Amino acid sequence: MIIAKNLNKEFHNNIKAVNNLSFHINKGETVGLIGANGAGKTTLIKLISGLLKPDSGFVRIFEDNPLARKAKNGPFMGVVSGQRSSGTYDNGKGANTATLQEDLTVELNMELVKAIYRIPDDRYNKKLSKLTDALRLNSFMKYRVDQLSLGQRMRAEIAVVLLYEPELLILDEPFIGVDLIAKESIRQILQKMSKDKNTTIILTTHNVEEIEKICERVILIDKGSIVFNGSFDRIKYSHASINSLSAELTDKIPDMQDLPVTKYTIENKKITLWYDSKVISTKDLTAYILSQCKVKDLLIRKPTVEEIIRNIYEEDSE
Amino acid sequence: MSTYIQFAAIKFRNNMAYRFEYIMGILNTVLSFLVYWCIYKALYGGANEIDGITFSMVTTNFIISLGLTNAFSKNEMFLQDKIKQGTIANELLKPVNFKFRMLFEDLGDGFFKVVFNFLPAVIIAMLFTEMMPPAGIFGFVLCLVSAVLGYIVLWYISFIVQTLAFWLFNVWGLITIKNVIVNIFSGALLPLWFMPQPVLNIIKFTPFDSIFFTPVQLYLGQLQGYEILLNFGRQVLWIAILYFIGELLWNKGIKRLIVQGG
Repeated sequence: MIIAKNLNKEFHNNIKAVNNLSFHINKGETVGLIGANGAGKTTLIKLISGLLKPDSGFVRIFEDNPLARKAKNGPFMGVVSGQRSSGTYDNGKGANTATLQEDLTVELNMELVKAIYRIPDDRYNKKLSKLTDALRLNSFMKYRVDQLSLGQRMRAEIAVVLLYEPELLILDEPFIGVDLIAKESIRQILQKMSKDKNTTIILTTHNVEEIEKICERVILIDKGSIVFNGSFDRIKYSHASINSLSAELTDKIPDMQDLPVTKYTIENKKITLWYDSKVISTKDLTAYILSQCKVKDLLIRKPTVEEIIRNIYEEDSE
Repeated sequence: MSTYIQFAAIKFRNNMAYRFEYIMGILNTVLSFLVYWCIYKALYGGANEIDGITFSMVTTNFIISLGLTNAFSKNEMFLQDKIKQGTIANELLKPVNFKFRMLFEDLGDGFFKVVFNFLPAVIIAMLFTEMMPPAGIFGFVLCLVSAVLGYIVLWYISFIVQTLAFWLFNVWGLITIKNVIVNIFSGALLPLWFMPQPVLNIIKFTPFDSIFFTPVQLYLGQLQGYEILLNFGRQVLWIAILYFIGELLWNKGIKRLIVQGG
């Protein structure tokens, strides 16, 4: 459904925000985009949604150019951005999307969406009452958007997009300022949409945990390039033999120069070793450490997905 | 079409939610009437008429022009904000014509302000000024119709200046200049009856006098027979010309935007 091929985007300061990027997203997939600040996530989102034109390469959505698609007259794409304006101009009012109209009340914003997408009355009413409950919109339904707090605003914005049920939903940092309860209900709504309506969802966030709960697949980007593209299971599988050993020492630090570990850190009297158990077995490594120094405490565990991802980034930058 | 009527209705209802604002709006309009009334009172210095123009004609002119100016005022930085933030592209993705949506939303706003701001202010003004009653019910209806057309002329002038934001960093200065020009040449500040003939000859070739002056003349019953048709014709012609220019600038701007990116 979405095809990106050899995308390039360079900004005026000669920074390649997106560097020869290609990927493919099928209909109904839920994909998480992960990357550090400045990795090119938002630029990529803007390229996909047609807010930016690539220097070279192309994006096709349902075989169309994002802007040409609009002519086909349907609620096909919804974009929610929790980021503050990242353009050249910032009015300090926050979210940089056109999903909500600042000077209208939340209620009338909903009706505006109803008018734009010609949603029939009965479907609108059913959908609205569901979203109002799930996102607890009642308390600020009659407020103008520019009077809302950041969290209320995000909830309203997500509600507006979910109201017209686009085929492709792009969420750029949607959980900024959203409390835990609302976060959970948004997560449930998204999972339900993806299951029932086969909605394609692209989500970016810094928080890996959030992505892991919603998305099947993850694309890691760094400095404008893809460093990993695959399912969460594959991440775990490909790093299944990676383990971490932490030891708290009482006296000297052992010589680790010749150990075949992927990396190690020393912090005061605590060392942490990352190693591949196919290269050096846990038994051998533990025996070596124990023979070299006095150990107060020892912990061996599998890394979390977040740590694996951090490792992938570090491997990439080496 | 019904979709666009809904846009106007939504804006209209949004105004209803903010009653305090419209009470202050009436007060604001009445106060500006009072200031102008005092100025013209002093200028006339007790005389009943100057150059054949009576004090009540002048009063009627500025009450209608200023009242409509206030009712028709809107956020003219709207387009610039959308362009600078890049959210304009998001608007283009929606399955409605963005310009018509903008127009109809403003019409909804304008209609609200005419009903709940302009009309109450005019009724209050009639109590303390020499404002004349309309020249018959027919003249009043014609005045309302031409006020709507005048609004669309004014709207497109504003739209054209706003679209320049595609090329300029800030259009605020241009909008201010545009507002001064509209105020002077539309007869809102100084009735066009007092303008010297050479200036009038120039104004005849501009859209400005069809904004407020045509409704005023219809209200006063100064236009007869074919003159009425001629004036309506001029309003419609200007809407067509301005629409065409607006469309041209808009399409060029959008192309430029897509080439440059948000």
